[in-house]
Amino acid sequence: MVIGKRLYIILALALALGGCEVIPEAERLVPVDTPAGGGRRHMLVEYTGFRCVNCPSAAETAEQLQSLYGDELIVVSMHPASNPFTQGLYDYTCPMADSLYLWMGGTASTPFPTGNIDLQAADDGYLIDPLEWPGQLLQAMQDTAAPYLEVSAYGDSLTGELKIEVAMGATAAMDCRLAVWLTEDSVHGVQAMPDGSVNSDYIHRHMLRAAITPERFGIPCSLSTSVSMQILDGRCPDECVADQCHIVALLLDKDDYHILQAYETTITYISDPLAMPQR
Amino acid sequence: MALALALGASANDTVYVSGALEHEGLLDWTPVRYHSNTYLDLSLNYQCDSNRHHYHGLRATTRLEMTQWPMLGYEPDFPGHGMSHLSLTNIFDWGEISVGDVYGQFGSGLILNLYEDRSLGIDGALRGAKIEAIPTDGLHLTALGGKQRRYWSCYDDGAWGWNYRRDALVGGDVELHIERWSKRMREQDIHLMIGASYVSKYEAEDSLYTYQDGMMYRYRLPHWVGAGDVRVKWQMRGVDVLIEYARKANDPNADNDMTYRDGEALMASLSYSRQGMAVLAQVKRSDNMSFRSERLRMGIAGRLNNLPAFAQHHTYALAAEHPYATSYTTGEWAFQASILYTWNRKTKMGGRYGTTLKLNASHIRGLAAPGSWDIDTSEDGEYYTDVNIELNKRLSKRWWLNAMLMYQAQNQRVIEGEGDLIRSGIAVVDTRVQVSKNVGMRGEAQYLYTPHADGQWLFLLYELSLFKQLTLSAEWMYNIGYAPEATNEHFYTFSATYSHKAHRLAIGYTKTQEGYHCAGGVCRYVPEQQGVSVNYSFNW
Repeated sequence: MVIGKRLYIILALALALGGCEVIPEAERLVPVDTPAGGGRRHMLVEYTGFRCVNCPSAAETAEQLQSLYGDELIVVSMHPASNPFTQGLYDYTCPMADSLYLWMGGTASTPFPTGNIDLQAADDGYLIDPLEWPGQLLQAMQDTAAPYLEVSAYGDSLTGELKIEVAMGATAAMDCRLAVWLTEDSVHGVQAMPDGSVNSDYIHRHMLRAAITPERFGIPCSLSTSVSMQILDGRCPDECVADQCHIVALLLDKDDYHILQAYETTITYISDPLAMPQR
Repeated sequence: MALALALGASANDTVYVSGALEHEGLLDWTPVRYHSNTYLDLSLNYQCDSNRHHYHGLRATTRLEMTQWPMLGYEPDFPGHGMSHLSLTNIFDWGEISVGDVYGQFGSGLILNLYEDRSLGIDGALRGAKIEAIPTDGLHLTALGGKQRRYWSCYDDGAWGWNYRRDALVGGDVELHIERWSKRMREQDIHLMIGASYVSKYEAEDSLYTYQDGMMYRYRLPHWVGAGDVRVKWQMRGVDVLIEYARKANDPNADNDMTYRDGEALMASLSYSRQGMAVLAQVKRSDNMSFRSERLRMGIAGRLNNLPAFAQHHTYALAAEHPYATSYTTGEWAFQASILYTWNRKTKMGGRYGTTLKLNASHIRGLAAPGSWDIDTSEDGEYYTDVNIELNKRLSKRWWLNAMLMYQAQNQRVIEGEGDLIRSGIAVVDTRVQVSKNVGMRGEAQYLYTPHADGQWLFLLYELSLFKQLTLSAEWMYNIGYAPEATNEHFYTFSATYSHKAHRLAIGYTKTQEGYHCAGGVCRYVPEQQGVSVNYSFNW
């Protein structure tokens, strides 16, 4: 039967087109050189929740990347209220975390853990799987051009008031946006673990606690070839342990808000308010 | 009609259009917003009356979807609108050739099951082509190839709102129906089928890296991942035996944490049925059988296969409160047995109208270790248990009764990612009374007891049917509590449903709790909802 013969040929061709590629064990991991530092710092946003059993593994990935890249990588973990993984008896959420999460396309159905590099969209959107973090970061590290950014932060140990000095500059005049956040490291809390247990003394790292600049993408600023200084006021939230708090400053592109430069510093507490920087 | 004329249709040929419109909507109170899923299926059918050159006709189908503001709980990529489906099928006396968007299943679906399930938001259609043929009696062949749909997002070079991934899929299936070649087997009503399938998916390499032992490595990923399936099915005088084995080659993906280990699944099923009696026993072992068209995809979408869940699908609300979803990645051992027996009417046990008793038991456990054939016998290794007995009896000319007692254990960590083993006992009484020719009533009472999670529940339902067209119903569900996570909340639904010929309209007010909706071993999280619901369907 002519049609039958053609069918056999079609089938044979179809199967011949496909195949199966088996990767030998010794060839599954190919060593890669990581690029040398170029002065630009990057940020990894890690969306997490205390009810997310796979999030501790993602946190471990973030730690490994930070140990690899050192000061060139700033990690901020965010607990957005819009995702069920953060909802329950314990509240580690922050309005800024939720605001950014929704802007990146996060919803109540978004699987956790997820994250983002430099507030920049990847091929499939802003939120990327932890498996993709090393590769995306490796790609981001190729870009070394960056404006100048340095931050000093001072706190009044009695009142919790903060003064943040931001020094900025660029090789050419440009407009951008400045966002300043407060994070807290080593927060002891609750976390669901991959084995199904609940760790009641889990150490949450780099948790976003407050936004010093309240707008989602900070305040507009202008950079010039000379270094300019800006002093911002803030306050350490009551629920935070002051010594564990850090200040993270970001220079963002004024159009698509991707990070141009980042800086993280600890807070120096001063008992004499007169010694605090003034505007 | 124009198409039919172009095909040289004769007066004896038939051309007709069929379709279905389906709308599901919810006017949410907080915040005020209308969520809806609307589907319009259209089919143009041309059937040749006479057998000309082996040609029987064609079928053209399309589907338009409006899910831009969908019902709650669907995946983030789900919203969209447009023509989601288009296909043309030519029908011959030896088989069919389809181009466009096609679905398909090989065997039990262990390596390929492309289907649509709107309640879960699944549409696994392949845009390509499919050939199904019976070139000679007893030989069934299927070949297909294409790219799988992934919701609505487009690449820059995408077309028609379709997301063409860089991936592709080809596959073939062969079934030999041996009884067609043996007159003796046919005379003895013996059926023997031997089948084999192969599927290979292609995906361009992703730049995926891992940091291990102080070094950065790039994963070397297979472009082609193959999966094969063999099966034997034997049927004789009510006895049905199926044995099926599937194996998948190295497929590192997000589901299995970039494991290169082969995946496999083995399934065996034995059933017996005759008038008034049916018995089923089946066992399944699966390991690392998550098979997707995208290696980094998680959640519901992108699945190429479907491992059947050896757990009874319950329609009673409290029995479905803690459902089960197949564990694709970590693997499982699943056992299921069921017996159905009907005592005939006018017998001692059957009574005047007959009595049916159903007993079902499911038990699912994890593997002792990845790749192991041993069963995890620890307490945490119990994934799901369901033992239920159901009695169905007509008590009188107008009164029917269905009652069920059930023991259930669900490992929340396996389904939801966190939680304990929830053990519960459930009782259901469901009764229906035909008051008169035009008036019928139905009532349900359900009770769930568990000391875990949110504790005890009570469910009541009352339904009034009038003139076979109008149904009014009220249901109420209350979390009695007495457990750590009890809420003592009330949930309710009041609705009116009107049916007239092919039209069906249901309007109601509902407040439902959050939970998981499961079908075929796949679950979707559904958040708490409150508002006015509108559902309409029309078929022609």
